Amino acid sequence: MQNWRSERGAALVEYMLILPLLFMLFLGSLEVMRLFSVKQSLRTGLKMAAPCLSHIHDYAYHCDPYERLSNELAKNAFAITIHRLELIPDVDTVQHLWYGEVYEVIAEVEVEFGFLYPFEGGPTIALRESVHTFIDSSPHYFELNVATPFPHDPGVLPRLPAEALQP
Amino acid sequence: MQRIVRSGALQSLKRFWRDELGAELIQFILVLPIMLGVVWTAMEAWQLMTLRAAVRSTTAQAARYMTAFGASAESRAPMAPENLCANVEYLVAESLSRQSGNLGDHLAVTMRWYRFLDPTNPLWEGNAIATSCMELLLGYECNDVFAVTIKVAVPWQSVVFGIDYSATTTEMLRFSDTATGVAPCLPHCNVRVSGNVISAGIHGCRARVCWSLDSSYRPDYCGIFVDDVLVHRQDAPLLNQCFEPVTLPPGASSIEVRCYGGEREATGAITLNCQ
Repeated sequence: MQNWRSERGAALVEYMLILPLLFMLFLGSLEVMRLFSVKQSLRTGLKMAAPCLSHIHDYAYHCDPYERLSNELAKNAFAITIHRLELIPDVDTVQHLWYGEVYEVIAEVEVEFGFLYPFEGGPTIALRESVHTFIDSSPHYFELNVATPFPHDPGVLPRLPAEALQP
Repeated sequence: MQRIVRSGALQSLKRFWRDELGAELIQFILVLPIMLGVVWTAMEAWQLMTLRAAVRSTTAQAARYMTAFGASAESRAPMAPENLCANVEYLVAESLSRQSGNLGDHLAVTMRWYRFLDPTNPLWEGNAIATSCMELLLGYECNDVFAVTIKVAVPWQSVVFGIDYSATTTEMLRFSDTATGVAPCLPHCNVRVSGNVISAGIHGCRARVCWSLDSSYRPDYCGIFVDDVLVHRQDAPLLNQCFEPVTLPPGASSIEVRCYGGEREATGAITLNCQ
């Protein structure tokens, strides 16, 4: 019974009790930092992907928005456990929009918790970034597009009769 | 007996003061407002940063829209100025529609346009004049510099957590951001034609035709037309170029030089007399 009343080692017991909480707090702050970093990459990727959609009618401006977005995320070492990456709207939808039309581009990514749950198949969190933009003008908008045939193209030139030319 | 009771109450009070049971609870209660304040401030900071980023992004998009479509009324750009201004307003309203203050109030948005009198001068003082979107587009010329400022205001409640009480104050939160842009230069091509008769014969004359192009792009080809009939085609023409001989029938002939770049046609003409 005397052992129960002894206060020796109480601090150690208290420390052991609080340690998991401290550890969770530490991992939690790392997790928040990681999610911030992924969100920032998502933002940067969206900014790089949006012009691909805005210039969809410009034949001279070819790029894949999804590729740009995923490449930007791939550069981030914290974004290795990505489950789903979505870009809304897709290229086909944007192709039906006309010059100057305003639309919203949304990039959404589902990320697994890496620090708080360092095992596979853990809980995930969806991060989302969006920007309002518009279909940009292109040379075609200003009627200067080399890809389209010229109007009034005379085609084969008519030859003048030789006798018409007099010295 | 009364003395004993009084003595017992005193002992109890002394014991209560010395008792350390519940001390941690009191410490926790003391520190709780600070912890709440830290959490609240973090959430506020997050919302403020989001709001600020939204205003910056919206301002940049508004300036980009005007740069992309803000051509002068005389140009061949198919977007009318009133449509353009309405579209920019729509873009701004849509972009900021999901933002709100911490009380849920919607933002009050004001948009102001500025025209720079001297586009080469980066100073605002005495150089930038406030205008409206429609006025900006009047007399809008290639390389004109403009600026757009978006200001948002929203009621914002601040909470100060105190130990014994908390205080709240509501004030107007104001954000603004400015972006500049330049009027697009639409492609233009002016053709000046000159020429003279070199020699004259029974069936006609031989002439020399020259053109001079004042152009923002290089035409793909130019054609010389005599009385609407193509007599010579020059691919990748030079800005100043002559061609001879051009055969003219007797009498007055209309000589036209038509230059094509993309879907654009630019023409210039003169009349030569073959006598």
